[in-house]
Amino acid sequence: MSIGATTLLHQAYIEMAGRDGVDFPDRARFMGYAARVMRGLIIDHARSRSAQKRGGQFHITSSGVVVEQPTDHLELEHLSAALDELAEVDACLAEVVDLKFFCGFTFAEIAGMRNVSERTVQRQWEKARIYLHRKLSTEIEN
Amino acid sequence: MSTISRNQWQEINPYLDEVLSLPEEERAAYLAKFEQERPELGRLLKELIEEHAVLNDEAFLCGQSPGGFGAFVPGEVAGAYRLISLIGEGGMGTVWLAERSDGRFERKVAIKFLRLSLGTQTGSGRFKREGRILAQLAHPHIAELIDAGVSGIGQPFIVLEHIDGQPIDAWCDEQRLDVGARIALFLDVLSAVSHAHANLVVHRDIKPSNVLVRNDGCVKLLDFGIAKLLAEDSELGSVTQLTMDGGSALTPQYAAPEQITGGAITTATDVYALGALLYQLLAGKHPTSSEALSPAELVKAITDTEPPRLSEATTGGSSTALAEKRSTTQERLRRELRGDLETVIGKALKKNPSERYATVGAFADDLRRFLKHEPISARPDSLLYRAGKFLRRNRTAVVLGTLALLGTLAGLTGTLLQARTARKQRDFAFRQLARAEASNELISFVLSDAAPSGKPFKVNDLLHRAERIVKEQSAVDETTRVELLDAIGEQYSTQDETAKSVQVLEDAYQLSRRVPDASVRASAACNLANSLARSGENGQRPESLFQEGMREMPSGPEYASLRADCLLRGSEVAQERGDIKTGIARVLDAQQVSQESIFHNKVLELSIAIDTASAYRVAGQNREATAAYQRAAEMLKSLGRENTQNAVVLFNNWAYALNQLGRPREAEKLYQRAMSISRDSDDDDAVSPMVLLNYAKTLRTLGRLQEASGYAEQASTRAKAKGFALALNQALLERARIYREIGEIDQSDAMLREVEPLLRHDLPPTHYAFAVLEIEQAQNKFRRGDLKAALRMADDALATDEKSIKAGGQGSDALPGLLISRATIELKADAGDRAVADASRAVRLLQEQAEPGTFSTQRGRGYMTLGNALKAQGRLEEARQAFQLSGAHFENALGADHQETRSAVQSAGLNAK
Repeated sequence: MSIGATTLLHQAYIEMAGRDGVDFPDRARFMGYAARVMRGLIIDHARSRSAQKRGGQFHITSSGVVVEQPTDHLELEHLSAALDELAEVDACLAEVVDLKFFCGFTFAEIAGMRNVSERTVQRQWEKARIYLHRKLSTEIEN
Repeated sequence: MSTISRNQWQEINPYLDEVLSLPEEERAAYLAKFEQERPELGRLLKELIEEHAVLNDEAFLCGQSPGGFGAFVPGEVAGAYRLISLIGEGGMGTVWLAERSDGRFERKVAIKFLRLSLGTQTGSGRFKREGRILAQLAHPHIAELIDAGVSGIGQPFIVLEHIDGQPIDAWCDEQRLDVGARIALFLDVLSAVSHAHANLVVHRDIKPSNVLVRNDGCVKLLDFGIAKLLAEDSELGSVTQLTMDGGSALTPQYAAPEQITGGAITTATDVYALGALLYQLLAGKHPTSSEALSPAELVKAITDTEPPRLSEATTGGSSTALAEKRSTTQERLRRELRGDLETVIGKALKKNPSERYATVGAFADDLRRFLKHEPISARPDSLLYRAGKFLRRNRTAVVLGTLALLGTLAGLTGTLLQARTARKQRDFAFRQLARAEASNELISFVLSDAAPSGKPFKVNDLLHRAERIVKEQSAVDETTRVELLDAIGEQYSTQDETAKSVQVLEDAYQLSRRVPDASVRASAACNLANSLARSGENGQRPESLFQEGMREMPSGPEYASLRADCLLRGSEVAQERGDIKTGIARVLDAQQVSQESIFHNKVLELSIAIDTASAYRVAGQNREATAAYQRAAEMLKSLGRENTQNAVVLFNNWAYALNQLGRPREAEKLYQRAMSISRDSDDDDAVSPMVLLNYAKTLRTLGRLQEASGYAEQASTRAKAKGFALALNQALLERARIYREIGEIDQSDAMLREVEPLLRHDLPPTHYAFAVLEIEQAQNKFRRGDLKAALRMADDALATDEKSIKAGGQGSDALPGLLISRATIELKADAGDRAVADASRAVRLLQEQAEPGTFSTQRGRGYMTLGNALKAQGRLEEARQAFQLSGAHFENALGADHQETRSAVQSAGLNAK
């Protein structure tokens, strides 16, 4: 059985309870953390699922490196590692990716959570994508 | 190409922002310029922007979230089925076509995965059970609910018979069915709904998309009982319509008026929906004609505005096309729809549920009569009725909606009904919806955050969270904030969190000073007054706040309900300081005022009923109280709010009154009921110390001392933890009594020593509680053999109590008990005739209070004491009679096996010898 976003959120709570002493003074930070945990769960889940290969291969074409939509858990793990690195550099951007790509929130919703404009979130999303794309392409090359 | 280092990224970040904010055409120029000024950084920036273009081409990360919605995959297994393809995505969740996974060739099914995540164990269990019950609802026109289940992670799903068909309105249009044929098809739908009603299931969500017609012309009603499943489980009740779909405040287009105003949902609700459906089939549009209406207008349209007559609804723009789809001409269509058919549908669409067809069957009968050209049973609207509807126009329905959801979750009684003048009606309705939207945010956050520790949430945590959010939400306007805080403060109060309640209501009050609306300010003042009084504050403040509130409250029938509510609060303020007479007067005032209101607010009536009963109880008029409680309980049931916090309060108070009347066995049942309602929230902590304490008292009366001791101890511990002074004081007194009955006099004295300073701190010295304290001390002295001191203290106790009663205060409840206790001491202290006098007086008082033909332990004890006193005086025949009466009372109140019964019977028997 697969998981919907709301049930996943619930599961995330349970896991989080195991990590001691986390305090969330406001919703945005909480959601960010939850989203990060959710990312982990999704990847775990993808790993345990009997996955049907639906693409998700990296392949090289004449125009350069093409990164297909990662749906396989290996791809997700690459992405996750890249995200973790991005989080070191600019946590805000990584969080947007967690919230948008993994949790399925819209720009509007994320903007609401963080009390910024939608445009701001969109820009953050673009920047994050740039970083990640670069990171992943670099990995393939090396 | 290499990865960007952290420093590089930080440097380039702001410039990235700048470039990305520029429209594409202008970017090249910017980049060129930048590269000139800062070559190295500029080159990197250029690279990144180019990369951005590439990744956009590739649509990098633009696919659907791997873990998000629609994450199911063909071939996945759900229960005994395998998913084939996604059929649709509705508000409630996704629907998949599926087949049995074990290869058995059975028909295909539709599996609906519901979005609600049932967090608790009990929820899942109930869901599964309900599913199985509903699966038995078999009817040729009902899509069979085959099974329901919950995944391992708590995602509920329902397995339905798959219907390959069109919504009924589309089908009828496509087949160009005429009026008669449409009605005939509709009668099939009615038979389905009627069948369900016979099985006590209300659909609650009848609309065209839920009524499909297969290719063979067979109509099937879908989603039956799903609303019921959810309602049972999460107590959404009447607000399913507004909140199920993803939690945003919706246009409740297909909702019946009572679904919006929070009234009871009954079979009449389905009748309304069916009426609306038929209207749509015949007239081509919904009776509320909801194009381009704002949510507020729509709400008003549903609850207030009479729909246009069926025949008139067909005029206008597309009327020729409309007629064509019904295989007729515009003129002929209008003629067909006029008259009886209009009347029939009109009756189904009445705003007041009791004016509609009582059953779906009656509705069907009239339709059949129409088809056969026989006279129908429904009467057309009289002139008077139509004139009356203009009067009703000023009634604005309040969207209890999501606030009621928050309420039902946390057991709120319902919001204050607020009346507005005609001018402000629209703003008001809109504000309510805005508040509903703000509340939705609140609720979805509260719900989503509900279990950070993985355990089911506690109501109080919910409230803490809600409070925080309301304070932090900048989008909420002041008035809304005040109202929400008021509601939260109220709820803390019913949870016995009096300190918290005061704090929140104080905040609300301060905030309200800035609000322009006088009625909001007035209400806030009254709410605070109430809470302060309850928390034991004795100064002038509660009363003066109440007076302030009443002064500020605008006059006029629109504000009557608010004023009545304020009076209720004022009543409690008076009662808390011991002024019972004023308390009762205010409650009766409230009753009268609420009748002036042009609104019909069942919830307020219920509050008044409960408070009236309470006032009587406090005044010691237990007989009136029990009668009033019974009425209130019935009202509660009819509102479908049996299991809310209100019910806990009701049952508790009722049981208390019964116990006072000396009917502990009945009281025990009610206390258990009250406790089980509280425990339903899955947490022992939820049971109020007051209820525990009252239960302990009842157990003591029944002679189950060890149990009583346990509960009393729990009560005092919890009361202490919550800072609930009143409960703590009473609990300590009760523990003193229990210890004495067990024989542990030292422990008993210890309890009394603990409670005395608390009482002195909380209450005025004339309060009758000190009489009670003294008599307990007296009884302990008595047990130790110090008769002189015991008698002296008993006299003091009686004096205190009588003084309190004279001053118009409480204390008459306690008087018989005090007299009996003193009589017991007097007997031993050789004051036999005083004992007889006291016991006789006690028994007389009790008789006056009692309902004729009832029995009670108090009277049993009274007669017992009287019997002993008479015996000591040598008046044996009278004594025997007293003992017999005593025995009769004990037997009926406590049972034949009870020790007290047996000793009374024995005494009666011995004397005969």
